[in-house]
Amino acid sequence: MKTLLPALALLLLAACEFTRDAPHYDPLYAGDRVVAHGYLSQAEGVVLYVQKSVHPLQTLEADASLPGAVVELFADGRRLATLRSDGAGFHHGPPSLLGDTAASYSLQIHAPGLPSASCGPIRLPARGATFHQATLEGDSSEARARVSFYDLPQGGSRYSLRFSTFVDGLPTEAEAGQREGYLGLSTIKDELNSPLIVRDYAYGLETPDGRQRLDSLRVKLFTLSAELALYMESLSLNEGDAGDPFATPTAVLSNLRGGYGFVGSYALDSIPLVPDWE
Amino acid sequence: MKAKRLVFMALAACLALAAPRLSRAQGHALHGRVVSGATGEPLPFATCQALESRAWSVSDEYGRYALVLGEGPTTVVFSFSGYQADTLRLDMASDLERTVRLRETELAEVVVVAGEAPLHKQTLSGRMNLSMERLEALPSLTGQPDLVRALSFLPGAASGREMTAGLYVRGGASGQNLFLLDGAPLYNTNHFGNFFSTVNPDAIKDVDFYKGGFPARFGGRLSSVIDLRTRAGRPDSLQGRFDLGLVSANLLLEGPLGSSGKTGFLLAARGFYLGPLSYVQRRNVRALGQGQYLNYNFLDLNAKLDHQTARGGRFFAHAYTGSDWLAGGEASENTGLSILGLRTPQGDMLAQSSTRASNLAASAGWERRLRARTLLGLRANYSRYGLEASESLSLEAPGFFGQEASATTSLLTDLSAALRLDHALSARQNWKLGLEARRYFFQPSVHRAWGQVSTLDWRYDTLRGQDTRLEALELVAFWEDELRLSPKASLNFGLRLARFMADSAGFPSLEPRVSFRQEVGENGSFKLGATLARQFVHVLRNNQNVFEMERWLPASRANPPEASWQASGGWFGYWPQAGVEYGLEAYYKRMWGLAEFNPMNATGVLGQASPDLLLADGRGQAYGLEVFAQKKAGRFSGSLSYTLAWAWRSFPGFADGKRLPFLFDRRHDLGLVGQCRLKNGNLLSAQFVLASGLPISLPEAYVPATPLSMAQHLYGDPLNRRMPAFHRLDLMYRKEWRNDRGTRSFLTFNLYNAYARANPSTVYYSNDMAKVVGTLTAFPSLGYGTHF
Repeated sequence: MKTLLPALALLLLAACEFTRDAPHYDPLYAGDRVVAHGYLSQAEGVVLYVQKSVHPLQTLEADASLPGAVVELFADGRRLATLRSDGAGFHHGPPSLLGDTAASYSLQIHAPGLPSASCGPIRLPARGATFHQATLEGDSSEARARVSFYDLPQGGSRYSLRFSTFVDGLPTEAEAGQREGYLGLSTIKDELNSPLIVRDYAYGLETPDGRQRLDSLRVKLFTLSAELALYMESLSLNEGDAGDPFATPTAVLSNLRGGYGFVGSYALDSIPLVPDWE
Repeated sequence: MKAKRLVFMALAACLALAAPRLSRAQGHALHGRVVSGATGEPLPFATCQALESRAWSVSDEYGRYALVLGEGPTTVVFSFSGYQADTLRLDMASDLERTVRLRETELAEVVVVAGEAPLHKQTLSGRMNLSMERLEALPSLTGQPDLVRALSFLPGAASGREMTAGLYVRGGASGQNLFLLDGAPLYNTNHFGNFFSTVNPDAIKDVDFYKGGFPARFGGRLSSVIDLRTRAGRPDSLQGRFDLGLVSANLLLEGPLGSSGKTGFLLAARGFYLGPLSYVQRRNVRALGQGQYLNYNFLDLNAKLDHQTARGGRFFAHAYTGSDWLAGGEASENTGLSILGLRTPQGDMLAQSSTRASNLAASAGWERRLRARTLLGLRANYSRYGLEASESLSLEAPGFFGQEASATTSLLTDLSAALRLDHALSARQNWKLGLEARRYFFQPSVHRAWGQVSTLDWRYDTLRGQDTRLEALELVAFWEDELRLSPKASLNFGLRLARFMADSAGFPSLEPRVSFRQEVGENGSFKLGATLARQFVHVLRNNQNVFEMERWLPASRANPPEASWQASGGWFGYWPQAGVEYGLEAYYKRMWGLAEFNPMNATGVLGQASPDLLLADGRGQAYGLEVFAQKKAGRFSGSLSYTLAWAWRSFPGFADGKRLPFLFDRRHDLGLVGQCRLKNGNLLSAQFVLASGLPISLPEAYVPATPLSMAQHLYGDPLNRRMPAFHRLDLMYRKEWRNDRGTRSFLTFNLYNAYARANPSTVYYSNDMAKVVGTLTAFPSLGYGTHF
């Protein structure tokens, strides 16, 4: 038995979680493909960012720009517009293009040297939730915002709230890199028994360095399409799964055929909140 | 599909009409019990054969037999593997009752004694038996023999991920297996994390495993039936057993009650405890407000009373209860936590989580032989499964105390009553008839969140959007016919008629079952089987994470019942010179009405309602070939099983409805088991598994961050790759000795994953490199046990 003990101790040490490189485990890379992310909404029109994919194991300093891409927008099979890149990868379309909430929208994306990608049908949410009430209270150091809205009667809607903070009428540094309409913060679901959904948030009125004071807030309420909410869920799960030995990786939802990415839709209500205690 | 069902039903009806005419024969019934001469325990599936007429029968699960014989003198031989055959010479002038006591063969070197008839002699296709002797001779993780893990070594059955005790039979999901514990359904068959099943092998006498060709008396699940029979309690003397491992302990007591020798009892307890190991950490967290801890314990208890009454009757009552406690906590300093935007003061913070699961399966029954040929059984079952997973956050500061908490509970109760009649129509035909009524109560997944800081108080069901208790009623009638068409051909066919009512909807079901066997020569037979099965309760499991527990949801208009039909056929034989029995069987199975959690929206499991939470109306397809060989007796024994299998799933609205591999699809699965009884009486055992890697979703490309999206890997179809192959060798060495008083003791050394194979549990990409992650390499354990 005595001779067994050291061996047992060694074996116990070996019994643990491990991670090792697997250089021969090659991904299924099918070559460069169109990648598009973006949203359709009646409030903000078409906002798309088009890139090309890169090899999943060659991500460092990869160039994914795709300046020559062209996006064609269709409604019920009828071409509405051709959207070209603004030079930075964005493809914009005005809200007037999306006037018909009952229409079935689709996209075709063409890029030189790459297979074309398509997406659709995309339907806009038939109706978006609007704010019931929004208040801002506080003192010289903290702003406390309370917003409320009614859950849409058909049920099953998903919402996202976003607060933007401004100094001298401009987005604060933390927000400046993000466009309005970016989704991905707190997603609220129809989790309450009451149809009235209330949310409270607090913000420090000074920037972290203490040199600037916030002068206003803007709250945006997004009513997400079911597919967009599912995309956000899958993205969140995928992040959480990475490297978890007890989890199976979640594939992030993609709704582009012939390419990758996701184009969703939402309805938007927005309201400014200005402190009045100064 | 409708045409197939009509053909199936017509065939069954024709056979049913014809059968009584074919086999109408006059005679007298010989009935009684076949028991062990040493212990008095009943011997199930012992063979009884009349030499003159070649009429034969097999004893039932409780050792009872009934054989219809012609008038006049006859010789009946009773045999059971591992026991010496006994012969009765009788003059059949009227019905007779005889209890037959068989003596064990004097083979000290026998390692595994499995008593049932060889596979090629059994009519039912897809049925296999696992004896507890064989189970205890297998290597195991932490020294705890695990029944579900052992079943996964049988052909057609596959385990889940490394270390887990999942069971996936012929492409079916783990929730499609029906576990019956003395007739009571056992819900949630795994302890937390799926490392151990909830079945305590100490309390089990025998296991029948049906993976196809289900007889009509079983229903309610699509993929398999695991019929567990607990030990009756030794009627001859008080005996016991005690095992102690590093983190587990078992106790078994069984013996007679009273001096009649007709009543026996059994008490079995099994515990797994990490509590003492984490005591210091828990004390630091609670007393000193620092550090973190993890604590896990489970306890299984079985109690049984068995009383033999006159004329082969019996009364029994059995109860199993199992509990899991998993808790973790972390204490830290709160430096300004914000709860829903509300700042909290600085102070002490304690985050705790706990999961409690409770399982109950109780049954009581009374059986009585009405006439020599007819056995009546009445039975009541009660099963309950409850789960509560909770999290809390406590904040304490001078003049302030606040707590935020949330909990998800899931509850299922099942109360049923059944009546069964077994009737020997003739020497060639037996009927089993039954009626069952089952009442369910469900609370699939109730989430509650409350807090002193946030002032929240929510309560709702994440699967239904409202907090209501669901009730359901299931009514079943079945008829099963065992018919010997000729001395070498036999048939088991039947019908199962059911109606399930829940949520103001009703679902009828007619399920024909057929198994046919034709012997070829003395040592071979081919078998065919076809089964239509329906499952009225969806078992939802977040397969994305092994720590998730099951939720049970009744069929409804939105999620109608699951159904499957399966056909199988194969050749089974026995090689007498080597003492090896073998089989080769192919199967094809289709499933529809499947429901699963949407793998892209698993957060709903944790407490958020969502219409995308479930994938419904799914289709499944599975087919494959199974090869099996086993040697049960002798100093060297063992088995080989190999399965070549395909399993697919498709769900409307998921991945464009494409056919994707099932998450637990393994193309190749090889299992080898070997045991050797050494000359000094000690036991050396090994098992080896080699299997294809499980499907996995891996990215096909990558895209850097943009103003609209974060840097991310890009995916095509889910489950587009496979993990590397899986293989593992487990070893066990058991040293046995007896003291002066004859008490048998043993020391067991188990080495799980003996050559420390780095089996992967997941793969991901990071820093331009594929990373393979595993959880365990070699795991040794030491245990001590004694029989008294």
